[in-house]
Amino acid sequence: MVSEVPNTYQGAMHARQKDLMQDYQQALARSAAGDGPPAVYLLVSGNPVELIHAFGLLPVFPEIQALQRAVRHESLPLIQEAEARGYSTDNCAYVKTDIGAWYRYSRSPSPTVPPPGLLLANYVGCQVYWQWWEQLEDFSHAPLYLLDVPFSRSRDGLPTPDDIAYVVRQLRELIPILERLSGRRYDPDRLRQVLQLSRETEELWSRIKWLAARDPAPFDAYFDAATLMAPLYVLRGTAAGRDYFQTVWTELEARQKAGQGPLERENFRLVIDGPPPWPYLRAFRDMFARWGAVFVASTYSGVGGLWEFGFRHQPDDPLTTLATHMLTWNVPNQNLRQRYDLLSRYLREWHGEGLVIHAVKSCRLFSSGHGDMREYFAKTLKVPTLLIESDLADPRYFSPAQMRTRIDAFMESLISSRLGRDAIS
Amino acid sequence: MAGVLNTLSLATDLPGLAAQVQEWLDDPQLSLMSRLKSLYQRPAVGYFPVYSPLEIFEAAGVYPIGVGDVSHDAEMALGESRFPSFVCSIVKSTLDLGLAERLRVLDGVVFHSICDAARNLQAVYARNIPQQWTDYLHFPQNFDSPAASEYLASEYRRLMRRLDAWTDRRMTNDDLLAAIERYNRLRSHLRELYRFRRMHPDLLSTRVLYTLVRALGLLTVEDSLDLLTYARGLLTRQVPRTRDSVRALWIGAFCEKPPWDLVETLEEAGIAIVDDDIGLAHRWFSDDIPLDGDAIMALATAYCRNAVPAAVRHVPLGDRTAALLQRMQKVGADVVVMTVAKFCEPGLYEYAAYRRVLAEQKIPHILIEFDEHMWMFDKVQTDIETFVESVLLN
Repeated sequence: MVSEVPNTYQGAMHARQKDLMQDYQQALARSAAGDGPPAVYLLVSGNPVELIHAFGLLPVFPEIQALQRAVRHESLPLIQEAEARGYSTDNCAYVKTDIGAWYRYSRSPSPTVPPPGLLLANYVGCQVYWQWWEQLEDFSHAPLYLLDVPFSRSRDGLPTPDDIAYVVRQLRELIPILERLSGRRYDPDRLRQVLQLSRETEELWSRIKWLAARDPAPFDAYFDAATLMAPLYVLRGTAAGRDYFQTVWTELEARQKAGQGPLERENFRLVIDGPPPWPYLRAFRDMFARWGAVFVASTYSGVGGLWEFGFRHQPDDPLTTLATHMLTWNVPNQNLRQRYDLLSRYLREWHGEGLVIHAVKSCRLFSSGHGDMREYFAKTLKVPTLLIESDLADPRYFSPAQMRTRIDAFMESLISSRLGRDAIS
Repeated sequence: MAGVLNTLSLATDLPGLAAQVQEWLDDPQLSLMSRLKSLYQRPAVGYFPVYSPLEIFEAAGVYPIGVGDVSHDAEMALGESRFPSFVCSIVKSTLDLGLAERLRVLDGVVFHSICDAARNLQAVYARNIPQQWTDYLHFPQNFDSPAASEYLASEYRRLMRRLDAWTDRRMTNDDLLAAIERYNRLRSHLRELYRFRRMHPDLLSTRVLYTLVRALGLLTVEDSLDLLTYARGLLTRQVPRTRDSVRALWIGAFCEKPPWDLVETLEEAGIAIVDDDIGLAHRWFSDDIPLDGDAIMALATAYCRNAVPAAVRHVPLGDRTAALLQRMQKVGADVVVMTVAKFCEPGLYEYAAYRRVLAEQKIPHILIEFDEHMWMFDKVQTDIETFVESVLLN
């Protein structure tokens, strides 16, 4: 069953994404050169990028820049630079990649990235976020606003009225700060327009994710979805973003109808929890692809927002809808029991045959409790489950041979259990 | 002593008292807690470090137990199996204590948002130990916002409703004010002990003080007051120990408990600790909480406005590092000893910031990473002795 199956599909969506992201990079470079709107640094988890677009400001996601550096194999020297300055080997490698870059370039993390006009720590789930932004405040002397979003605490994950009121009130405090930075008055109608565009994008993204529930899945909902996340977070709330996801939807739906998937043959449908090991992205993908394994659902593709279960931004109540998104409808702010429910639903409704849990050293939010997750799925739900460990940006924690051995053993066990089931039936 | 402590035949000297308290904390069966629970005749609620609103537990008439204060020196197979290798020990040991039924004395446990690793512990604990109820408090971090204290008050009221329903009684504002008054007194006692230690580190060792502070995690506030009053009465009987040492501010061990021997190693190597951030659950407020008006609002406002420095609480780094230097000056510390629990991200980020400013100010400092299960101290001893010598000789 093992075969080396390269994934070389390149469609119009890929070409369009390349153009869009180049446009974005150019906008960053212009702003860095002093010709363009000020930059607001914010974080991916449950991001309120609509508010930034409504003021015509430029969103910058240091996490995305860190992961791009990791993909290009540029993260390790920056990590080591940060470690030489006192950051621990046990600190998040995204943070160290970024901080290493700040030490290297001093004014911002890159000559083509503008320094922050505002550090917006949208503290959604990950505590390291505000600790990271504290460091950036120290380096950049830019103002920091810590948008504190209470973690989902109840079994059903519903926020309390006090949770919503607290976040809305902070958003109201943030608005004058954005007004000063942008030189624009807050225009609720403009925000509604942005949210309407987000809503349309979210509808498309939801339909795209549900495509992977079909047989065969027309794309890999982990590896391919991860590459779609940059436009989803940077361009959500813009017409360009909405149009781009229309292209993606049209193309992937056509591929699905034609029975085309990301691999020549879809042998296994898997679900995965945890971020990718970016420095070894291709190698990691190939370790599954060689078995014909496709990820049909992933929690990582829901870090910025979960839209496949019906949530859409509501333009008629802009601040409450932004708060609801940050509080409830993204993976990082959900508690671990909710994540178990989410994964169960992915396995059931996306027809996953097994669960891969990728624990990454950098992200305790994702990984703390992964042993229990394995226990729950393997022993309680009897789902074939593989737990593997590496890191999202630090290549020193990825052992290709060991990783491959474990993945191979898991895939072989899936085959054995299929054979066992066949023999019984 | 009016409380239950007079039934425990306390030792009559400080080292003896510390040894006795350590036995309570190290007892694998945690039998003292069961005994106290039956004496108190109260339901028991565990709380996770670093901070928890103990005043609310007291007002609710429950027996609060610091799950981070009891020792865990056994194999941790159960806890290890549920968390990756790169998660700190206290998360694993707390779950391990629960899974091994060593925390069966507890009826419930309250967790909160101190870090990403601990945050997921609540869900894992709740799933695996369903016979105990759990809750999770979100402590706000946006202290620039006036909304933060109001939000925290709403969280506290949510917890109160839950405790009221569970204990079948109704906490009043007067109950809360009375509880705050008791904890104000306790914090005042602790401040006095810390002041004494600052002036006479040769008479009150940190090894003894650390033991007493951890003991508070096993006692009600009234018994905690009794214990500290009793301990203060023993201070005058101490004989000073003269030796070369450097006055140190000890920081970083604000959550996971450092092993007894680590503290002993520091002091034996010539570190005279004059301030620290251990046992913050009982030392969280730098001043008394006002005893009038809306008690819950006062408690929440104090959290946002009047808390001691802690790595798990957002403070701009510039303010944080300035506070460190002011604190050194206030307590007369010449060096900083930073012990950070292995894999503790908040502590490690704070260290990176402190290291920069301490280097700029040419203040000697040393970092030691520890684990609550650490049992070999040879390297730490060598590192600390070398550090002390270099400070004394220069």
